[in-house]
Amino acid sequence: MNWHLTDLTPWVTTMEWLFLLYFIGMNGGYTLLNLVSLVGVRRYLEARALDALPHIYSGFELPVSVLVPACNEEATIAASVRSLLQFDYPEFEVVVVNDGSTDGTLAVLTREFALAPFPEAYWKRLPVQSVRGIYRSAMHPNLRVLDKVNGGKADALNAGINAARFPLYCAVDANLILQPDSLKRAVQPFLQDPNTMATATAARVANGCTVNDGFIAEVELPGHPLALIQVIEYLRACLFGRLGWSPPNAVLIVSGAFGVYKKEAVVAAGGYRCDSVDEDMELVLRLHRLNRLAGRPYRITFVPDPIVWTEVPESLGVLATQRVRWQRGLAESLLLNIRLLFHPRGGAAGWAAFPFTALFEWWGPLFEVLAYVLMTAAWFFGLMSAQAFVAFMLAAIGMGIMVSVSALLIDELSFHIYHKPGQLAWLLGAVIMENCGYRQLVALWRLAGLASWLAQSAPRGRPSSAVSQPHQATANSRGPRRS
Amino acid sequence: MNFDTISDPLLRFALAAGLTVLVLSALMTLNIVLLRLRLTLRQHRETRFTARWRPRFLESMQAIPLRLPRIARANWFIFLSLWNQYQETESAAARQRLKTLILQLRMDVAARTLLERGSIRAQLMAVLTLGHLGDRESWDKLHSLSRSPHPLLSLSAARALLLIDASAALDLLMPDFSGRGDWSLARVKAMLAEAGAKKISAQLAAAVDSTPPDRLPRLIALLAAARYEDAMPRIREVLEMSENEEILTACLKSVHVPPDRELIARFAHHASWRVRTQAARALLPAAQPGDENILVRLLADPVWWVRYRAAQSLVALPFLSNDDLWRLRWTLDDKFGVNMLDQVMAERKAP
Repeated sequence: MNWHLTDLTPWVTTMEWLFLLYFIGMNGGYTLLNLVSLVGVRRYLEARALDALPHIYSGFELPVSVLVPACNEEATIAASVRSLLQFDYPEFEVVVVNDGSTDGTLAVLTREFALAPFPEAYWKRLPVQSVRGIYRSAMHPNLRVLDKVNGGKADALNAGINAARFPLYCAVDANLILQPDSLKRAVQPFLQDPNTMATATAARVANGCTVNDGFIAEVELPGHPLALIQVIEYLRACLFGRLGWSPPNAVLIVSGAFGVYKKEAVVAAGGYRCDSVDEDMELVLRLHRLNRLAGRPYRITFVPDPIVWTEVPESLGVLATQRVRWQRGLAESLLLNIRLLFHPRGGAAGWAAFPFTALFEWWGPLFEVLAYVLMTAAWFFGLMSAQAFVAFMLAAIGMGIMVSVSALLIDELSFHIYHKPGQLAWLLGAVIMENCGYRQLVALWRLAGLASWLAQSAPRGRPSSAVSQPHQATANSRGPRRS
Repeated sequence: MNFDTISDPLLRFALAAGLTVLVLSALMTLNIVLLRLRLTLRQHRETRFTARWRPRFLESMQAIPLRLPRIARANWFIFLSLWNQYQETESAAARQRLKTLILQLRMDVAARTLLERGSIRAQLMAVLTLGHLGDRESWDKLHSLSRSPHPLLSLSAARALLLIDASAALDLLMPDFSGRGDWSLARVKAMLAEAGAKKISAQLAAAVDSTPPDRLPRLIALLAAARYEDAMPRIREVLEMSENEEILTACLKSVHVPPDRELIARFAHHASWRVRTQAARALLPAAQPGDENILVRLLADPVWWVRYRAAQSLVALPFLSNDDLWRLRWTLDDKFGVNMLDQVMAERKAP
């Protein structure tokens, strides 16, 4: 039987249509989210029109327990805790959970904050590794430190929840850069809607910014091109990847770096899963699933203000590791909560956000990489004309550029944090760079993450803090889902 | 590469899609640049206006200047924003002079115009201004805005109505205060407190009778803003009659003076731990010598929060000395109670 490459032409044509429709579907979805975000951000800014005025409801903020899991962070923990203690918030406590550090983390905390053993009646509501001791600062009565056997970040957070005194808790990564009003802004949705169970916040890129006393003093763009591109990614992911899902109550991701939760809701849901790669996303999905399926009123809200700043990787190796892990975490979290998908009571989370995320984020890298590889191969072997190849690439890349530019537009309409004219030019350049090479590379890493999840080969669980792995400085602080 | 003779529909479609999104991207980029320009100009204008007007505001708090420039429409919002900032922070006398200033400049008319035809942002500022001015002329419009589904706008309008005429506003808004879930309870409480306990107490307390049980916990929480002598008889009545855990909890949170001691003590044995927790907390200001026994019993409660609140109240009892507490601690035979008392005694030690 004679077989020619040209016999594949009908298949290639079908494939071309499929891939093109996939890209249109994905970017069309993001454009739709973009429009919802525009409305959302407008409403949000209207509500902030009175922000400059003294708040007549000051003093009614709910008290918050700030939980800081820490493992081997002797170099940075004192500065981090000091900046947390400066929050402009009426009533809060800081609970540092020393998750079996083998360095001098506990010694540093004891020395810097005059810790003394505290006879706490520790309430083990969530099962955790054994707690070795509880300490309280003689200088700051609202600072306690739990010293426990290592169990990973999820276990440390559960231990912190057990010790938390207040109805809300804020899970914070120790390496994060915050603003004095970060907590105040993140708590607002709880005051406005008593059914609020969690608030997600927008993380922005701290590389290049000037930091004073642990807070952002001046916003600058990073000098490193890799970090610069991630500025666009973070803008896109935060401004409409999440803000777009907030009005229909379908935000699936609350950053592990900084998220505020209603403690009782989390305890009722069983706390963080210690065997999960991405415990924060898994928890949020579980909150959606349990509450949707039980028909309980609840809300998970996104606060779009730039109140959390994180250092992003400037090396390809670290970035690759981060993205591989995020992809595994995403796949695992979605699968663990698959019952939410198209459940009759699933609402927007089960009928829109979950399928969208599954199709374009979970399995997206597979389609995306296949599309680029097969189209290139088809052109190379003459199964596709050069015109068709260029047209396909133009459409795929052009749509990506449009979505990124629209993120810049929303930022300009709302927070315009990069206000210098030169910064705008750099960001527009980054949009092009992002879509011509970077995005494809990230798709490849995410595919590797998908493969790793399918193989289930790597060990689960992760350390308590990003700083515990100096070369993965931002692997913890979930920034952008690809969007 | 020649695209002129394309006949393949896929190719045409892909090319059209690609070019369309690139054109859209270019248009959005242009939009960003224009927005940036507009923003820069607006910021410069506002900075200049603020620099000119801050001293005038400060001067007006002493005496209204004789010659005042007209405010251009473009500066209405920034003027009202500045005026409201001073209005919410300054003394009563200064506020009164600032009211004269705004009337002299006819900015009350401007605020009414914004209320009728402005964006939501402008309407919010106008609502706030007219509330501070006590502008009865805007009553109907403010009332209609208080029915808006926009939570912040409706709540701000409700606040303005309360500032204009608290009693009339309460008549209109009571069902919304107890029933509108999108109105933050904290904000409503603050608004009622701002209106003044004297003006709102009797109406709030009277509303207890006509409020359906599902709305009662919210209304009882609002009674915190009312005068004790108006609120307490109603709260006592509800405590005597209700079996609803949520209502009882709300009531116990509001009970905080000695005459209610016996009533509170009754709830220390309630089946709901939430009610017991509130009872342990509420007993503190009402407690008399001998009541420590109720709290000691609660120290053995199976629920952590009940033990915690009981220990907190116990440690804060004015008639128990430190030595009394230590003696009491050694007599406890419940391990959990001892641990809890140790914790709370350690918490009390000021560092």
